[in-house]
Amino acid sequence: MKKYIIVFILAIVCINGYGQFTDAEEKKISATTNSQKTANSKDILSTFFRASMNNLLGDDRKFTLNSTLFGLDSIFRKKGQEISYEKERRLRQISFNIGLEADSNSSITKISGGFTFTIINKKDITLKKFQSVDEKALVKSTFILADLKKEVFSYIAKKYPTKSNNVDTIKAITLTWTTASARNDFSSLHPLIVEALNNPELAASAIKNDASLGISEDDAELAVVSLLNGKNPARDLYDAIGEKYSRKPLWTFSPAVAYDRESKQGEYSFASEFTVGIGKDLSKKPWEVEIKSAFKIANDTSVKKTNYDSKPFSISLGVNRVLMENEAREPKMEFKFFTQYDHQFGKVPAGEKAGIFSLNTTFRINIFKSLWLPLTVKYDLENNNFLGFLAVTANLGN
Amino acid sequence: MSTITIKGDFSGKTNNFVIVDVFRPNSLPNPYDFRKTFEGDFEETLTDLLPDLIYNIDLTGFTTANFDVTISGDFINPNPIEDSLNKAFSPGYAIQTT
Repeated sequence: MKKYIIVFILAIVCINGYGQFTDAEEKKISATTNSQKTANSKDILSTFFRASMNNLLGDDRKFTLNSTLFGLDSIFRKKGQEISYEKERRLRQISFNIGLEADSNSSITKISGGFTFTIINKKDITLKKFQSVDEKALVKSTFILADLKKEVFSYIAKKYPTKSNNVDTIKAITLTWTTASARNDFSSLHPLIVEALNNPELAASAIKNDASLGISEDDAELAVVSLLNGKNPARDLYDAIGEKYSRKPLWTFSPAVAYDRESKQGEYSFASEFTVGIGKDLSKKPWEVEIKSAFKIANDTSVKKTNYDSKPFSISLGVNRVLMENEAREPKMEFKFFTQYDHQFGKVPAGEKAGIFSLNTTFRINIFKSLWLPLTVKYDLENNNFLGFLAVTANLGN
Repeated sequence: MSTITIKGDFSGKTNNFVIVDVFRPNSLPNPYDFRKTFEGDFEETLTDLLPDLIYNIDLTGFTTANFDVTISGDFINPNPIEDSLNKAFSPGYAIQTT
């Protein structure tokens, strides 16, 4: 009972810590970027805060809180105070973590802390500028949409001048477009807008001043067809570009240090993680390839005196796949399969092997908002053992 | 003359773009056509609008963060007009100046 109370209290502390800086700060993060990030990639580099509790049902329970320097800066920055692009980019690329490990009696056995440095992050389009070709395509699409909209109202004013001089009528017509834009659903436009879009001369009239932007009548015609089919061509292009960038690589390096209260000595660890999406079909969620490696220098617990005889190394290669997503294309269920090799470069206990291969699967379900439940099943190929680990991870602030 | 102010704030520092259109179609009396593009925060004040006329205000653009817009000035309620937008957006508003 005591262990569940401690877990609950730690969760409340996390949630309250996050609540101190939310509201405007939360909105700042791209909905697209974060919605299209898998829970797997958020495990590597969180946006604001991430809390996790691992091995809840085992003997060595672990609780970690991870925050970017940007998240920490947001707490102490005065409300409304702006920071430069470069400073925000630097702060978002570095995160720190604090961890506590407890035994089966929920007594704290280890305290740890470390940093995660971003080596490569081509995913985050809130920080990384679009490539020129993508930016130009979006700008062009934006001009086409703006010109079509102006021409629609010009058509309505020409054909229905009385209606156009009634502010309530114009507001009602305008509102259907604004609502369609907000919902990304243009299937319920005002009948007069639909009539204007069906005017065969609309596209040519709309783009007559945009030849210098490389916009052709065909471009405008295609946009009109999309709108009549209920779709926003500019938004579709934006989503496709966002999906393309969400598949780009992310590579981090994480040094950490821990203090073992039982052996009264330190542990030093180094980890590196790399992930990239593969698959050319942007309409489907990709497979995410992940490579992880970790090396630790710690004590051999079978020896009572201070030593650094335990040097475990692990490397894993795996793939992660989104199995289910909601209407907003946010991942809700993910599956990861990976193979892992663990090798003990230090002292190997008698009767045990220095290296072990294992096959692992992790199944993640999004329980509520940013709260995920990952279940890992590990199969030791050498000893034919199954091991399961239950954890709860919450990516606070997306 | 009537005055309106359009204020836009991008919460992100990159990948921002918006076209601001304030217009009255040519077929109506006193046509008006203002267009300007922005890639960052802005505050644009138009002082040459005529009273008791209907103007369309369109904002078409994209951002990878959030874009907050406020339209205020000499027009009938609701005033000010406020909106918060993201991704690729294309809202429009109609105002009658006072």
